Amino acid sequence: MLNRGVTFKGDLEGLIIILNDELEFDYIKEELRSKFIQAGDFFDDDLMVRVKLGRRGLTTKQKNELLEIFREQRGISVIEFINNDNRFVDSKEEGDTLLVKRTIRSGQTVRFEGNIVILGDVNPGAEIVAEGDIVVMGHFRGIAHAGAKGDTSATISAFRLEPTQLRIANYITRAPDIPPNSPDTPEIASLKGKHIIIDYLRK
Amino acid sequence: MAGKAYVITSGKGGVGKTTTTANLGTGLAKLGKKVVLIDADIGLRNLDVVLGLENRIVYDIVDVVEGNCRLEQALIKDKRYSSLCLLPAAQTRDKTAVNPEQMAELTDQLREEFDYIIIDCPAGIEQGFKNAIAGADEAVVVTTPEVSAVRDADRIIGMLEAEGVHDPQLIINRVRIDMINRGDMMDIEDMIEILAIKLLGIVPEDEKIVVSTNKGEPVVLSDNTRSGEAFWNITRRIEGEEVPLINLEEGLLNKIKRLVGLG
Repeated sequence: MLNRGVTFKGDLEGLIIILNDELEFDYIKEELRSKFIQAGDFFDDDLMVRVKLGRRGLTTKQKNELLEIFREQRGISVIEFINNDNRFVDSKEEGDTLLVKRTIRSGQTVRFEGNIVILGDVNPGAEIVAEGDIVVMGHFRGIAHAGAKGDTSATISAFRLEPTQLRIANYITRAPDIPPNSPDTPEIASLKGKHIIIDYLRK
Repeated sequence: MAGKAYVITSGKGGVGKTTTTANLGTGLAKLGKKVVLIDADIGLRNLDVVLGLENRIVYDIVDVVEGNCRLEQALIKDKRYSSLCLLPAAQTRDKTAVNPEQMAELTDQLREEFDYIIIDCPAGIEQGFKNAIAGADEAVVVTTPEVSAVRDADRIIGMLEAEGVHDPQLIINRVRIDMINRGDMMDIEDMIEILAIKLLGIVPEDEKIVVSTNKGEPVVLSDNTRSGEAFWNITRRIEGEEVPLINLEEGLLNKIKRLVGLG
């Protein structure tokens, strides 16, 4: 098979896969599959992938077929499909999640169209903004905005939840001026009516 | 009504610009004045923490300048005095997010609402400094009795004059009279001689400052702290009252009185 339908490129943010828009979809699909087989275990864990489609439009079925191929690859998550207008064809797949393995410090922001998981602490002055849920496997002391595009079912949870400020969809709450004694246990913040409430994480 | 804009600056970091801004602002509000504090230290904001207002920040100065919100939406009311407001800096941006023209325009807008605009300048002489002084009518230079701090203060006074901010006033912070007496700290008289600007006040070194900063309660509101008393006196001098210098030590006081023409 001539390898001219699928091109792999890397940049600072991860992997870019360019799909030649002049070739048949089935041909592209097979070539993508065989490229992954050739690559073997070459790809790192939590590699972010952007798929460039050129002028091609995708049906839902075609998109799911592509996603299926990516799912078979361990450690690869598709971040977005981009067509020629540089417009997101699909930015938020259910379960699209950004994993960040470091401490987020004052002045740093993590922004993502899906969910965000932080393996580390979030310090005061740091900001996490997600369109979906936010999970912090560590101390959360900064500002979190979950459901940033208006999803009122979004939640913010952390091993230790001691935020400066929490925002879910269009609602906002701040820490009391006299810091309460936080329980030494994981907690979750969610919207109940118009109020953000914090509860033990019991799942 | 046109408010007066003061910039609190120093050149060197860690000499007490933010502490001075918080205390002067709170002091003026206590005197019943309408005061707005501007944190010009974009990317390294602290004034909100020193005032205990960090958890209230939604919009900041960069949001105002970029038109993401109205000016009033970014102003945070103080917990203690409703006539005191804070315009916080952005933490996730840097000094280039705002330019001097925008700062001058912002200050002019605030002048209509407030009696005093107090701008907390970042350390250094780069864009942050130029932004901070752009809208200022008056300057207060903070220094400590150390050769390096005085050297930087001198540089800053020169730059202020070059930028058209004339007759800055001096605050000497973190003074330890016991060390001066032993000859281990720069003499206040010598400092004033070098810098040759009007002395606005002397603030003694006080461990209460650390407590007050960590708790987010300006020391000017506390009774019986030496530093609080000094900041209160500075506040009243800004308001035009003639207040004698804090009694650090009799001999020294008289010397200074002579220097500033009070004795």
